[in-house]
Amino acid sequence: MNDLHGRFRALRAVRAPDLWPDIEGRTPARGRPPVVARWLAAAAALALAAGGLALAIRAFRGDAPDTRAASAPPRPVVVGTTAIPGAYAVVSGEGSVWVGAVATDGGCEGTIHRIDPVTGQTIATIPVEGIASWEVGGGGIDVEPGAVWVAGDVCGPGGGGAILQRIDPAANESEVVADLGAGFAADVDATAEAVWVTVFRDRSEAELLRVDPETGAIEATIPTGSQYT
Amino acid sequence: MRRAPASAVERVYREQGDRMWRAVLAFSGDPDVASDAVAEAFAQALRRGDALRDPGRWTWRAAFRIARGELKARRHRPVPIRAPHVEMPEPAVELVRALRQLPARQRAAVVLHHAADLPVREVAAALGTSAAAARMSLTRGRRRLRQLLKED
Repeated sequence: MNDLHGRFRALRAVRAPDLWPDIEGRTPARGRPPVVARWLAAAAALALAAGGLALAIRAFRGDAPDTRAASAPPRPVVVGTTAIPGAYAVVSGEGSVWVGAVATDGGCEGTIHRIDPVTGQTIATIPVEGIASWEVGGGGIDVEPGAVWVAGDVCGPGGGGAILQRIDPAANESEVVADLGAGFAADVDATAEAVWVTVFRDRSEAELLRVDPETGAIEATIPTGSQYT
Repeated sequence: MRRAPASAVERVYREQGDRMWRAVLAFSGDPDVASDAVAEAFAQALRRGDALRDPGRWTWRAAFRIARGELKARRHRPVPIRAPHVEMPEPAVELVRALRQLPARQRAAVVLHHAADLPVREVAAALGTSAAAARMSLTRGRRRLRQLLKED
């Protein structure tokens, strides 16, 4: 027998033991933190204590404050923070920071978070049908004047495929521009004339696709000779 | 802490426990690791009480996490796949031997999808990753497995 499905069928024939008596009678392990974690925690505590002591000594000595006059206007400081679960890629353009995030419930969809670079606040949260997987090494997002490009994968009954999406920064809405076929979209780079996308095909080499940004047509397919392992 | 109603967790065990054990066996290559990981996962589920919204999904993740930890602790002591108290047909032994040569994430994805019959979305949830990443691990893992088993 040398087919994968047949072997997994053979595995299903293996009789599993009844573990319930063990489960009911077992005291679950709480687990102590590993040795390294305990040493790190102790080191952090010592560092905090040393820092506090230094501050106390300085206070008692009455050190003079720094009286140097500021000669340049202060740089903008981000005063807000936004938690973005599943964040995997970031680009900037069109006056914003764009952060791609995967679904954290196992879904194939993703979201692009548009962030104000000064305040750190979220301007918009834009759903997209597919995002790139970090495992292929790319970021999958690029910004050009008038468009934010997102390469990604969609799930489907046959296994899904790669797509190219465009976000209109004026409306904060996304649309699928091109179906790139079976495989995994990795990264995207856009110019005014073309959008370039790398796609890892199932069981074959990665390809570089040139896509017309207006029509979504694939104008060229360039084998790269690179395989993912 | 109040223990979860034994019936709810036990129901999950009766419905999915055998499949989970076989999946962890395929992942770890060790029947004793599989038994310990699955038993520990369900014991912890009982202890967590009403805190678990989805005991099924939680125990899958816990069993694989515990098995991974056990394998890490044993990495310098390879364990034979066969155990006297477990009967395994030869094709299954060859499969488990080949699975051992996959990176852990690919091995887990292949096992959860093919041995545990979980759809990709559930595989991703069990691995704590995105569906796209789970599909990638599945594709790579299957390809490598076929090479190891010398399939077309």
